[in-house]
Amino acid sequence: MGNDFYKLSASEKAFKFVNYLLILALCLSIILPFLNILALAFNAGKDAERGGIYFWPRVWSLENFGKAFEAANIATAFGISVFRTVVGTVASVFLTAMAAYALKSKTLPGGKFFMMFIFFTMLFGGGIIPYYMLLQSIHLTNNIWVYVIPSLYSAWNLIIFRTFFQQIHVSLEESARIDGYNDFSIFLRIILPLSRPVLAVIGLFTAVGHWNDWFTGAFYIRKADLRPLSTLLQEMLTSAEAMRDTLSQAAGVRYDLLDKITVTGNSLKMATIILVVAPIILIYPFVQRFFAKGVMIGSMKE
Amino acid sequence: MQQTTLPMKPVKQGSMLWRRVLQHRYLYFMLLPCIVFFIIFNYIPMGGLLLAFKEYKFNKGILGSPWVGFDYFKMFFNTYQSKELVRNTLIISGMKMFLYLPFPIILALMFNEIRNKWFKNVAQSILYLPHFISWVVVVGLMQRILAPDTGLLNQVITNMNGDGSTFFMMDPKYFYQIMFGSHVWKSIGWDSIIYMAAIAGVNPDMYEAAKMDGASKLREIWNITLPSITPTIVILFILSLGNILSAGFDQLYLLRTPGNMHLADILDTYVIRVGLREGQFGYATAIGMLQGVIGLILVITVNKISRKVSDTSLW
Amino acid sequence: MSKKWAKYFAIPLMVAMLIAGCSNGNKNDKASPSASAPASGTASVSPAPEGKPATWIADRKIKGLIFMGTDDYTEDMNPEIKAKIKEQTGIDYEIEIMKAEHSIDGLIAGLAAGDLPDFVAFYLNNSGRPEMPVVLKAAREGMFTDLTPFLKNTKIFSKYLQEDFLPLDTRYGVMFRPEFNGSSYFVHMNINRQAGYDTNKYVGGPYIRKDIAEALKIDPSTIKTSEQVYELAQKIKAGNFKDSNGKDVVPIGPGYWGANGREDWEMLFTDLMWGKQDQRINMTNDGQILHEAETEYAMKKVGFFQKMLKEKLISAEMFTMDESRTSEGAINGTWGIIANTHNYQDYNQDLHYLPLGPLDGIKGPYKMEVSFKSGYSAWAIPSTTKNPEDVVKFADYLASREGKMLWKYGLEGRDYTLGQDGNPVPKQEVIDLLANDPNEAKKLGFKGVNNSWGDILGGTDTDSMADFGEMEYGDKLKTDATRGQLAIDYWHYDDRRKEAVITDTYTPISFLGEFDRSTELKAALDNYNDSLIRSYYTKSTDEAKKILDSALKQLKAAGLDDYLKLITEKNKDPKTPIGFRVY
Repeated sequence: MGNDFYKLSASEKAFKFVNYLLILALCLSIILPFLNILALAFNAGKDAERGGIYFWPRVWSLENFGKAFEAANIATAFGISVFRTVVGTVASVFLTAMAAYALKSKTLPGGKFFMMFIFFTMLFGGGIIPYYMLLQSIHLTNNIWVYVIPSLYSAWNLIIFRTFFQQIHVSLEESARIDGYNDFSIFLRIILPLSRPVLAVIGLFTAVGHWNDWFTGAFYIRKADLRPLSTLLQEMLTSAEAMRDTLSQAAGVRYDLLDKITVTGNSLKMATIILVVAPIILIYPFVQRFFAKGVMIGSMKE
Repeated sequence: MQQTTLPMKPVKQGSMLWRRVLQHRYLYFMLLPCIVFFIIFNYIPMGGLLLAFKEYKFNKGILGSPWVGFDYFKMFFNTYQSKELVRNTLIISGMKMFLYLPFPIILALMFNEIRNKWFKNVAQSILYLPHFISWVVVVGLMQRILAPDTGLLNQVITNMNGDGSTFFMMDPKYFYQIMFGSHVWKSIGWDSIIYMAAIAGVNPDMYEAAKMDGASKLREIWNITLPSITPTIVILFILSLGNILSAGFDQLYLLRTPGNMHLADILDTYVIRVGLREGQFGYATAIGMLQGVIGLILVITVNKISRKVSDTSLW
Repeated sequence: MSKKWAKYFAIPLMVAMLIAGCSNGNKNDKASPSASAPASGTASVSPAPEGKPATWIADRKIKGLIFMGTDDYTEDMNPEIKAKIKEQTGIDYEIEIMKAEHSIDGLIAGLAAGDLPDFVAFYLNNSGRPEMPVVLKAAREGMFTDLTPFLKNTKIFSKYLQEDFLPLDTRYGVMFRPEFNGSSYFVHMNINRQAGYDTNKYVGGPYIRKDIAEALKIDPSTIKTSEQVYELAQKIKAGNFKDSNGKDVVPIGPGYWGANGREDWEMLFTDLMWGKQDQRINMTNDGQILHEAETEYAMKKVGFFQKMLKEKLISAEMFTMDESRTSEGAINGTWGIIANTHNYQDYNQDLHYLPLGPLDGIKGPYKMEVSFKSGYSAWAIPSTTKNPEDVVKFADYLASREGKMLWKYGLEGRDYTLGQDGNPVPKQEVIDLLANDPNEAKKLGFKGVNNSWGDILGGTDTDSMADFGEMEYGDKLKTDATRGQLAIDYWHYDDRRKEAVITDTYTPISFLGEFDRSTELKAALDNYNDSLIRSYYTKSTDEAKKILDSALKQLKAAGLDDYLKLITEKNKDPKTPIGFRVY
């Protein structure tokens, strides 16, 4: 018996060790390239061209960031990104949760039909061209609200909310109803405060989606000063033309006179990548603790 | 219940329904904007699928354009590329759907075994990182690491007296490894969140009971954790089947080189290239519709099977 | 179960279709080609209102959507210039630039949505550009206004209607296509006033680092064949040269503007290239038109590049590197030879890279070819625009000398003074600002300071020498050599120019838009290009041959033979001669 116990413990130790090791290796595979980006972003651009910079800057410089912010389009784009992420996330989380609460009700006539109606949109769509025409006809193209309005509701988030709400004990709602609360105030005063974990998770998902989305800015927006940071970065990375544009704004000289300045296209790119990624990384730890509380995806059966 | 009150039924049911609707008026108000939203942003564009059967004329709009029947579908299947495109798409999305499936689940299980809170938090934060950067950055990084002669990997190979001149991105031999590896690298952390959340919801009493019985860690995972999160796995899997004919535009678009084009050209890249860039909306819509319909059929079928076999289903 | 499904989805779908129907239904009456045609040419007779200058057009706004992503101009106009335009013409001029990774995506989306401002402008070098089928479709479907009646009443653009002003491709391929029976829907721009007029003296092609050529005691102009390029590359490799960062030089690097999708590397072996650059279609000596895949040149190229790659004489990423890296390599001197660049690039004004060759062609020594005239970019007026003649008149104003003076030289007094000969003389402070702070200078808002918004509507009938007494802005004031002059002299541009062959032709792929299987053929042509590069990287000629054979098979399956037959016919028509290689 005792022998067995030792054996178990040893294998358990080995299991633990391998487990830690694997996760550590995976982390390294991510951290090293990121350190490289970080090192390049903080290294003087011209110097970096000599090569040989891996995980630590050789010639420290904040110039890449300074120039990035001097370029008017990056500062504006940052503002647009913050706006759409904050407004878009708050509005979407609140509205989606509200609809999910309504659909949670088992007694609501037509509730099942509405659920299916919404769910079907997850499985099938009309494609990008009709969608573009729609946005055009309701004057959302070239309009800052195109970032917010078409993503106000998400079928996927609605399902997660609904599953979560179904697990909340009915007795709470019933006693509130006796106190004279209507459905809306029950949702507002009882349900929402109880749903902090799911609100945090969905909020994070939504915010990340907003922050990362470059497609909307690239396809439905023409005005240069309405583009978010992610679109700008995408443009900088894919088109040398856009890169030059930003660089000449940042550096005040033409790209083909590059040898006179210390910022290079590549170093500016690296700094912009950091600018895009940093806010999310900084916010993440505050949301992380809610993940442990558990979120289940349920079936549509209920 | 119908038999007893047959004559009364229409009136009574009508008024009862009305009363129930009235009773739930707040809920309807809360739901209304949502329904309007989905009609406008999802169902109206679905009407645009008519384009797949029409030759789009700029001046006539969707409804006014002349019908062409199934011409675009025929056109697609007649082109010599269609076989290759469908094959490439199926292979790539198949790899991402089946081969990739266990990866985030295993990662979630691994995290579940880690007791050191500090390590867990830091490691998780790091693993989510790649989700936040776009494919352009990832592929840009890969191009540098995998570059012939000057790339990190080739330099390591040279240092070990190997031939350090392999052009990994150009060589079709390495295409699937690169495609799959980068997909795992970028998505595994983020995709594991949902499983971790599901694991967190497992009743801890069950583990206690297992411990009493002296079950090993692996057995515990196999007998308790996995069955508890199976519904989540199944539902996510069924949902992902809807995308069987789209294999990830961003990634593939950027990974394509002349060398691997015959493996990496997929329906999504084809639609953009031929459909949009050349202005053939009807053709592009037809292919898009094909992707959607096949995905839909697959989801419905597998959902049905799953409900019979495992009692887990989306609806 | 299935019935239930049907019930769930039938209703929303029907609703959806109904609503979609409503929103699109009213598009029907928006545009029909005939309705938008103007009543008559009376518009031109109306004199300028009292108290207004002779250039007065109308008190209105003209807004353009530009599908050309470029930093040649900015959306923000200089306010003083804007005010001057308003004062002269009454026009409130505004442009919006559609930036997209590919300009054509924006154009297509814009046309599909049908929401266009007073005019649109887009790239259109010739009728073979990918934009052509798109705008043609739009024109056929009545999206654009017929411009011919308006052009008749203009001062500058009426030249387009003369017999010998336009090159053939602009005339019959772009503007007055036979199918339109005299109507025209696009105005092709940048047509020079005189035939064979050089706006720029381009010395393009491969360039070699001067110090390397000197160290190897090689005269770059003696390099004539791909075999010599190969030997030269071997010597560069053996010479152990370094770039400005101390790293090894790559004997042959990609072209300056990036390798991806461009075929700059073809400039390195013009004696192995079957068609003209980017074309791959050419005529044999006995008059047969063939694609490169059908000739021995494909395998010749494979042999050459396999050799170059194996011996590491060219950059391994020759065909895929992006522009930021290729141009940085050029600036740092990493490339011993740059596959393609030209003499107007700032980094090489001291000629530390020398032009190589020029290399021979497939028919013998290099011969310069000059187009009779050639267009670049075009504009069109959507049929929804009210009083389209105002836009045409405004374009005519911008194309006049007075208009050009405004958008090329800025404002009198602020930016220039008038010389004795009536030509503008730029102020020294503007020239200085341009040299020291080009960004600030650009805000002055005219072409001389690199903000050439006027080119969009007014850049045609160009003859700067006749109009302003100089080829380029500020040439008269310059004491040092003009831009690119060192290479022009070194390469004996002027001598070669005298010998040049002047041609007025279509590119072989111009007629893809008329070909009924164009989508398939275009895909097969692209596939050939990819296959070619892929075969360079194979280890054996057999493997390469297999890849190229299958690419040829696809070309044939996609109707290559029929297309070649089509252009053989076109070539016989004096209105549509096809341009093949001249050397």
